[in-house]
Amino acid sequence: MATPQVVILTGTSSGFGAAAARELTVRGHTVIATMRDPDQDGPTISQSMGDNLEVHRLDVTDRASIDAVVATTLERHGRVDALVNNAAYLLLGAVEDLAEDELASQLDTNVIGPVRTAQAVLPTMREQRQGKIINISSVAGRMTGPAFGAYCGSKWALEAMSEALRFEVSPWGVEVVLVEPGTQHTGAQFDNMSLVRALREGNSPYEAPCNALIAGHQKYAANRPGPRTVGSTIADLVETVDPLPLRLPIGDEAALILGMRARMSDEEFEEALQTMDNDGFPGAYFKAARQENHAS
Amino acid sequence: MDEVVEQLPSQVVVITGASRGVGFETARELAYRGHQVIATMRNPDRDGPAVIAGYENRIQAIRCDIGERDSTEAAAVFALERHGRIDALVNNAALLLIGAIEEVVDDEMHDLFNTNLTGQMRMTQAVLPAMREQKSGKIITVSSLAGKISGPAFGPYCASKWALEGLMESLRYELAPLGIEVSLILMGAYRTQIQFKSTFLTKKLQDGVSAYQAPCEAFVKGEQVRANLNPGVRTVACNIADAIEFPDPLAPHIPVGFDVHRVMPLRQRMTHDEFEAMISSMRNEGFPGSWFGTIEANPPVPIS
Amino acid sequence: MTDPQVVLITGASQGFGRATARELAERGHQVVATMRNPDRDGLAVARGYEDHIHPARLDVTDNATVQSAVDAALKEHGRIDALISNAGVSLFGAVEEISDEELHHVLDVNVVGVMRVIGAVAPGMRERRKGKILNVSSLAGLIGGPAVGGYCASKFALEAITEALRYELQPWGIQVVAVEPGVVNTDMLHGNISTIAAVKEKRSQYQGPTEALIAGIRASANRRQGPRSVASQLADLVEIEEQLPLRVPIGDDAIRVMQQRNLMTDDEWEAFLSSFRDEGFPGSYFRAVEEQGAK
Repeated sequence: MATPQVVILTGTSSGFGAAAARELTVRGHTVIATMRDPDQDGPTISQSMGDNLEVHRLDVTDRASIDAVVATTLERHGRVDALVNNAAYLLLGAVEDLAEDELASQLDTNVIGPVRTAQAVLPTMREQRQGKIINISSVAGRMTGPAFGAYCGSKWALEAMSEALRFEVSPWGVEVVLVEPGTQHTGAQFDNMSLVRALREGNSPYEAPCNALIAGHQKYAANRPGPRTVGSTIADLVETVDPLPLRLPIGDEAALILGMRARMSDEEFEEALQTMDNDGFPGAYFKAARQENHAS
Repeated sequence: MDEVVEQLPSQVVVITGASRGVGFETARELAYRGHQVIATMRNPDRDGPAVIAGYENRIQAIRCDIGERDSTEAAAVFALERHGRIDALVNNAALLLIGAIEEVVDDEMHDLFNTNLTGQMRMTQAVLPAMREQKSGKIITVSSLAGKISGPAFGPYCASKWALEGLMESLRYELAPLGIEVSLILMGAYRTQIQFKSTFLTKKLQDGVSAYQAPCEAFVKGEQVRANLNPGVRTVACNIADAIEFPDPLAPHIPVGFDVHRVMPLRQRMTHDEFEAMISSMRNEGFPGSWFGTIEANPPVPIS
Repeated sequence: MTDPQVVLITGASQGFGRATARELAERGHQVVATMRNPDRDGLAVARGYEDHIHPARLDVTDNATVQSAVDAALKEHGRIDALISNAGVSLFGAVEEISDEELHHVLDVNVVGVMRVIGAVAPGMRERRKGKILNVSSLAGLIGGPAVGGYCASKFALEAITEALRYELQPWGIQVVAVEPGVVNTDMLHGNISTIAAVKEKRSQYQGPTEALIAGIRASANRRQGPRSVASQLADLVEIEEQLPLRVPIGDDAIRVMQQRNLMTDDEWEAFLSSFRDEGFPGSYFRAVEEQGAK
């Protein structure tokens, strides 16, 4: 059994974060499970868990809250072995429709958030000459498509920064890993999905294909696995003693898309997406867009 | 909290070798997710309670020795009498054998095949009549990198796993028109109890008279240390549960584990000469590094 | 041109074994041509090469015959330079219907049988720090297909054995190779095809497609090369003094499979193989299934 690790996770109120926090707790590690609203969301993840799970408030857009959690962790446990940057959300909408504040917010949470938390733990990890920064990316960090520009943009940015960080911190024995799941059945695809204002207020020229995409994507996501497997995989990463790869794609969807990406030219890939005949992303978008063009 | 997706109909799943390791964890993960599990094992009186604990209304532990045809048929009968159908079979029970090809004794090899290959075939055959009638079902077999690559002292074990790959690949084509799916879990290195107990060595090794004694002992020792460092098989169990719940067609292989993701592309892309050179140059503690390291330190003396 | 080699071949009464024995003899080597019934089959194999081909009894499922054949060969010739493990049996039939005994037998001959002979021959080779072990595998050791699952299992296993053995014997300078012939026009395909009882007794749920597959393979074999191509490749491998590769596919079908399989994902390969409809493996099987469904 790997020695118990001290692990800080963000965004643990639901989805991968919750699943990973619970899995690590069951496996006997010291889990600092953070979320924006522990009073509301804390009890659901801590139920039936031992006292090696602690729930704390942390908002990745609020540096003070980050520093407070790291300070408390060091005070109580003396070290930080792993940081799991999971807190993120999906902003859906066409690039033309993105209001500046909406885009800024997406990047603030999905990109700058993980950078803030990494910066908060790195001094400790460098001193320890050991640590893992596990960033939850996505298939969306390696491909993109209509209505996903902001979200994919944020995940591509996370990938690029993680790859750079990996080079920077490896001399101190600190590892950086990107986890890339495909679509899973989690709140991120449903209640936690944000739509741009233009869509919500019904004045987007992209309304029809975006709505078709949302409906199709959610129908698809409803049949995808829940987050327990990704949670277990994240726990494995924390426990693995051998050197970790930079990227870890998870699941059949990731394998398919990344395989296509690796083997096809950009033109071939674009053609493949445009002609994909699936219910969800991107098929539903293109089908609706084609119908609209015929109608007008 | 969206941890478990609730709206799936409860599946009836038969698992072999469910007393520990992948079988054990898969049985409990499926039960957690609301499915009905027939957890089969050789000694349910001794090992059953631990598997069932907390899921008494979802897991039944029964005896099955896949080395015996009657036993496999009885297990299928039990599942059908209890639940009326069998939605999935997880072929998991397996034995390990370590030793040089040259020194393996007939019985050792046949016993290994009897469990690792023929046993899986028997259990599959036992559940197929029900699946045929249902016009649906999933045969999920636990395989590993040992089914895709082979190496010194692992020849017999890999042979049994490669054989299983060949058998299941063929079965997949045969059952496709019947709506029954066949898939192999391709798992990497995890902490499982199958690893490296002394009873898994060939007789020659156990007796200390093998021509390959030193390199075998070196890597076995290394692996016994390493085995405790690998993560446990929870993720494998979750992947199997996902595959059982998945409404779309299953891929022929479901890879699980970082080493799988690292090694398989190399295996496919490299020539064998390149791959062999890479493996032969490894000097990690355990397999295969300790094997090659020991030989390098003590090569057979050339004849002058 | 190498010095005359002493080569022990199993299953030398017909097919690849016989052709290889005669090819090696033609090239001046000494061949211990082993078979189950040398009294019945030995003369024909050795005809014209009686100084080079020495028939002997060896049944790969019977350790006593293995040991005595090897002992006799060593006594007579002082050494065995190359072992060609060729004896093998086929098995046609769906996985669902293979009996325990049928699977046991194909493994006993094709895998454990090979291991028995290696067990008897390898110690001598290690002592001399020299030797070659050539295992006759098959295209069916590289890919699986409908109605040949038992055979594929045995040949996949042989591939794993060969790969492990190669590492194991390398320190003693012994070379280990698997050759993978594709469909070749041999007696084995026309006479000695083994089918599972369910098919023999015409009660298989896969009767039509299985029979169609066998007929299709036989028909396609008639259009393909005979065993001499395999024989001359094996003889070359015996003679070549340089580092040999692990796998040697023989025949355009085997070569193509080896090249293409690794370039494709599992799904792509499966779709590709499943699309075959021409006469032979596996097209005849899929065509028959399709025609059945249409009724």
